[in-house]
This record gives sequence, structure tokens and C-alpha cells, in this order.
Amino acid sequence: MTRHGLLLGLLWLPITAFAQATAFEGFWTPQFAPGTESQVLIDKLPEGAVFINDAGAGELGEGEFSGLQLSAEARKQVEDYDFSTELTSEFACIQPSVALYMQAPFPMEIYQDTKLLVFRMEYFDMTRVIFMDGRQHLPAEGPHSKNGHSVGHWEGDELVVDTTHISAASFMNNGFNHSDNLHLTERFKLSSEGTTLFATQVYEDPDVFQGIAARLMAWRKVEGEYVYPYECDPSFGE
Amino acid sequence: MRKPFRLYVCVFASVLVAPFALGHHSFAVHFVADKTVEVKGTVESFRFSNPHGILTFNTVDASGATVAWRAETNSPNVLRRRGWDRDALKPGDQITVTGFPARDGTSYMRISKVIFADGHELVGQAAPPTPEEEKD
Repeated sequence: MTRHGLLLGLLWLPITAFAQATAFEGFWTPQFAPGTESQVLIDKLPEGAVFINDAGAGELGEGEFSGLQLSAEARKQVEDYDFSTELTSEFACIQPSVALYMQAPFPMEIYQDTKLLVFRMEYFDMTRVIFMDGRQHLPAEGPHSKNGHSVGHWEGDELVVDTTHISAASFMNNGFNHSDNLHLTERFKLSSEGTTLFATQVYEDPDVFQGIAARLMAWRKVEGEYVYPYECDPSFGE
Repeated sequence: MRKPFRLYVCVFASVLVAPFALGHHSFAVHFVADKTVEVKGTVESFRFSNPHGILTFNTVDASGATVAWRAETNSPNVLRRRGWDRDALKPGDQITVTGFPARDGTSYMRISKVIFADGHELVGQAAPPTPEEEKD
């Protein structure tokens, strides 16, 4: 490589990093119909993944689990679930986990740097941090949270995020919970025009269901809009 | 090998999409999605906070007895973008409320629409856009 070639190569690296760092930033509102370009991500889902079709405008009713085969423990948990508790103050402000809130029909803001992405979710004021600095996950005994511990990397123009340490929480908003051992893998990709953000979530949680489950979601970019505070008020249940 | 996944999409998409998902608790579990009720009454109170606003209002039934209703809204964050605010309903307002009734048969509903005495309306639980509308 010539000296000029080396110099150009060195210059190109930060330019590429900068282009990736700015790609997802902005305000994104849910788009209920993902569109055909999302097929690129669908094609990368693991073979046999069971599709959970409740993102955005969808919703699963009581006893509907998208065909997932629940473990005996999970079936017992669902059978014992008391839906009447959902209308109480004690339940009203329980935060959802990243396995549910990403598909909720509320907007989000994304802030992005080369070492970090922050997802500010309107739903329940959740804030998600995705480390892009090459660090490893927390040790097994590390703290769990509703956001989990997320590390990401780029595969071309796709952001791939791996999340562990997610606290047990509702999985489908219908009495079925995922466990503390849920493993979440996500792929995010912009549409060709950059105005739609697509994502797939892939779930593995052998404690509560067999095989692999997946969701597809999409958001439309809106300029000049903001996430509003959620400030959950438990008096709803009084 | 992608075709198996596409098959799953086709099978489940046709049976599992309930009308709306706009709350912290399940709409599908707690409300009847394919039926609405319309109730005329007088506002008692209105609280506009997440996860759901709560409207209480009184109506009079056929026997002349007063019936107390409780109606929840979508998230105020969603409704704020549709023109609602915390002063949208005031005690004493004469209103007609349309909504999805509670499955347990109590005087409880998810608000679909509120019509005021002067004719103006507030839209609550709206139908989701069709894929065609999404493209507009």
C-alpha cells in the first residue's frame, strides 16, 4: 500500500464510524405495517422460529401464546394468573421488560455515539443503553433489570444487539411471563430511504418455552417530535 | 432455509391479531373488542394520568336509578397527540360516551369517543390503521 493509500485508509475508518454513529438517531413512532423491506430481517431469523404477532396494533388474548410450547412450570404460572390484579394500584406501574416494551405502540428517541446507543422509550419512561465498545456481558451473578444488559456490534448497516440479565416480566401482556434467563437477540436496520427503522427480536428462554420465538417491529421517523414523560400514576387502580 | 418461518407468519397472522394494544394491561383480556356501548351522563371526575386516564360519570337507568360508570382512556401520551388534555372533561359536563364494555359485565368501559353537549368530540380508542392507510 502506498503512503497515500494508507493515509486514505486511516481517514476512511473514522468516516465510516461516524456514518454508522448517526444513522439511527432521532424520534421514531411505531409503524403498524412494517412493509416489504422488513423481509430482509425476517429472512435472517432462525429456522423454525415461532412468530409472535402482537407488535404495535396486535394483541394476544387470554390463553393465546402464538403456538409456543410452554414448559410445565410456565403452564402452571399461567393457570394461576389472576387477571383481576391488573386493575389494582399494585399492578398499575409495574414496568415491562425490554421483551415487551419494544413492541408497545409508543414512540422512542435514539441517541447514538460510536461507543454507545441510548433508546429513550416513552412507554414507562424506560431508558435502554447498548454498549458498543466491545465489552462483555455482566458476570452471571450481575444484577438483572427490566432493560437487561445489552452489547451491540455492526454487521454492515445492521445493528445486532445481544441482551441478557433481563428481569422476569410479562412476555405477551396476557399472564405469560418470561424468566430471568431470557436471552434476547435483536437486529435493527433502516429502510433504503432511511425513514423507517425495522427490528426483529429473537427470544430463547428454555425455562418457560421450547425452541425460539420472534417478533418483528417497525418505526417511522418523524422530525420535530419528542418523547413525553410517562410518569406512571398508580392511583389508576384506586 | 426461510420458508418455515414464512409459514408461521401466515398461520398466526390470521388468527392472533386483536384490534388494539394501547395499554399496560391487556385490552383483549379485559374488554369486548367487537361490541360498543353508548351511555349518556354527567361527569363526576376526570383524572388524566398514565397508564390510563379515568373518567367517572353518572347516568340514570330506565327505573330512574342513578348508575355510576367508570371509563378508562388510552394512555394520556397517546391522547395528547389527539387533542386531549387534563382539562378535557370537567365535573358537570353533559356527555355521551361510547366505548368497549368490560368483559365482566360491570359498568366499566374503554373509551372510544366522547361527544359533548355542544357537539364537539374527543376520540379515544381508535381503530388501528390498515396497511393501506399506513402507506399514505
